Amino acid sequence: MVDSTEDKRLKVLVVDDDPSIVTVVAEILRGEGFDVLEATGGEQGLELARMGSPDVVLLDIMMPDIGGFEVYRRLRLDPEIENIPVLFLTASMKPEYISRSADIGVNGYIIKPFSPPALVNALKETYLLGGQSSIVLKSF
Amino acid sequence: MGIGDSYAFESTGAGLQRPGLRPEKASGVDSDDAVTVPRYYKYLFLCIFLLAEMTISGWSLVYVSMEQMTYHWFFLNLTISTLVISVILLITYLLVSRAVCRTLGAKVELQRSEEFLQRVTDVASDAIVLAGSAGRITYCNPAGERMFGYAPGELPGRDIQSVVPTLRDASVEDYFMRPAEQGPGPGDIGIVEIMGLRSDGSEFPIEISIAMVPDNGQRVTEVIIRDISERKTAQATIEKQTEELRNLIDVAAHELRHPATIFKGYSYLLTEKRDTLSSQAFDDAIRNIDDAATRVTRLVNDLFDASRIERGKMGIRWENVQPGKLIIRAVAETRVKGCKRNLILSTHDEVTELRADGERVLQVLCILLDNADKFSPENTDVEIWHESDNAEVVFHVADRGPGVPEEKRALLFDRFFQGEDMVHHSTPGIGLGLYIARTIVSAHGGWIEVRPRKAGGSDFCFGLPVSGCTPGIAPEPEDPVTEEPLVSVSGRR
Repeated sequence: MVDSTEDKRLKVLVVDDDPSIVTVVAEILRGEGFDVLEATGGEQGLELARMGSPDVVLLDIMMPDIGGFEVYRRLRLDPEIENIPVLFLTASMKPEYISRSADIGVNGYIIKPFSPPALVNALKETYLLGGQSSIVLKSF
Repeated sequence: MGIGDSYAFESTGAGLQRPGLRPEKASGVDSDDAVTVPRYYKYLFLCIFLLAEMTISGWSLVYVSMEQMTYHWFFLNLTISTLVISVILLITYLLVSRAVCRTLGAKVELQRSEEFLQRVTDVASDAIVLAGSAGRITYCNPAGERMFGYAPGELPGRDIQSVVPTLRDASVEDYFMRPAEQGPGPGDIGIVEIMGLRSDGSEFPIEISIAMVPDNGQRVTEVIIRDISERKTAQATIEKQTEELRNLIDVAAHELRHPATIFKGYSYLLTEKRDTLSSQAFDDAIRNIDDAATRVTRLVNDLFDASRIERGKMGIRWENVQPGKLIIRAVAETRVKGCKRNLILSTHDEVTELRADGERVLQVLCILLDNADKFSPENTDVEIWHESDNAEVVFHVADRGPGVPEEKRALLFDRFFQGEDMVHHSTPGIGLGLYIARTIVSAHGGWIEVRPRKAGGSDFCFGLPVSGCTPGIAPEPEDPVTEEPLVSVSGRR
């Protein structure tokens, strides 16, 4: 990509069961210089996370096969991918989801619909801070 | 009225023996005491007569013994004596009459008052129960007997706990065994909600108020009981509707966030990154925006239809329609909307005409096809056909999806019901489609249900009477297009 890491294009894995959401997010990120991996389910997301070595994962919570929290748990159990920063990208504003996400160490919680520039900034920030951030972006 | 007093049974107009409010003994005054008051005046009469007799006899003796007295003096004295006696008799009569009238009037007024109180308690909608010592029922009005399912006169003598079992022993101590001179005890209560017990053993919610009524140094406990079953049912309905409304808002908000994300994302791309978009990405953008708009439109339409149904505003326009043509139209519309499953239709050649609202039946078919498309695996078949006889046309939409668990089949057509967790659902929709479908079918006097398929999947089928009968509303064949209100009455068989 991108401003801060001239020599590296960040690779983002987008996991959402709605293909149109995956497509629009991927287009936005590609337009900003990211490499994008696309998954339309939890299982496929886990597989791509292992095979594609993404730098950041954008993960939906409500998916029919495996929910986002379970995908996150399995990511953290796999030593090869346990350190990949994860941001939830979800339509749910439930406070318990937001607090639970922070409790288990999710690096960000972005609520749909999101501002594309804000999403891009959140991804950069998360990568730069090495997964030490905890960002919550409410829809606006 | 004292504890343990027995109550007089008074005959009612209906010939039933009901316990009266008036006890046999009232405040230590015998019931005959009122009419014994004039006895004093009887003695007074007697004394006056004796006095009159003595006066006349005295004057007669004086006349006999004193011969010198003239005839004239004798009659003068006799006249004076008679006048005095007459005046005394008149005064006595007036006094006696007044006393008798007062006594009899008070008795009549007392009886009238008691009868009025009896009528008041008879027509009361709440149960009025009086209990004496140890919680023994001494009186229960007709409303109470009806409420608890007892025959007239059956409740007096029973323990209050036989109808209000949750008044436990400690409570009985407080309410009924407490000495009267101690006044209201800590157990005296205002209004509480507990459970009542009918004679058939069934329980129901009641609102109960208990108060102590002091009576002649003893205490009577007055228990007023109101059956709040209907109120509780109404409350439960309101709570359910409120919960449904909350869920609707949650799900509708969730539903709207998806298309909003599409609109916002592509508006950014088309304004800020238009030069970098490939033609394929541009086409995707337009298609996805259109899909998102369709999703919003469906949501709005579903909400609109549901609202019209709830308000009884949706109508049925009766006309003659051909089932086969409706199926062809439904399949065509579903394909145009981008159905990803193989739609297999089979129609029959017969030209059975159906008396129905064609557009509404088409709406039901499209709802079922949309559901089959949403919940079936890609590249599976969705079959649609109809069968008919002289009385009924049955439509089938059968998929190879995961099927519907038996315990959920009855709920499937309820408003806002979704097979998955409403908040965690990922499939578009807010659970109104099948509710709308059932309402339309019911308005036609038909039925709708889901059946499992042997090789997996579900068969959603609905039947409509050929004659187009509406529950309670006969169609008018002469009128080619008539409109009837759509009623939300289940016609499932």
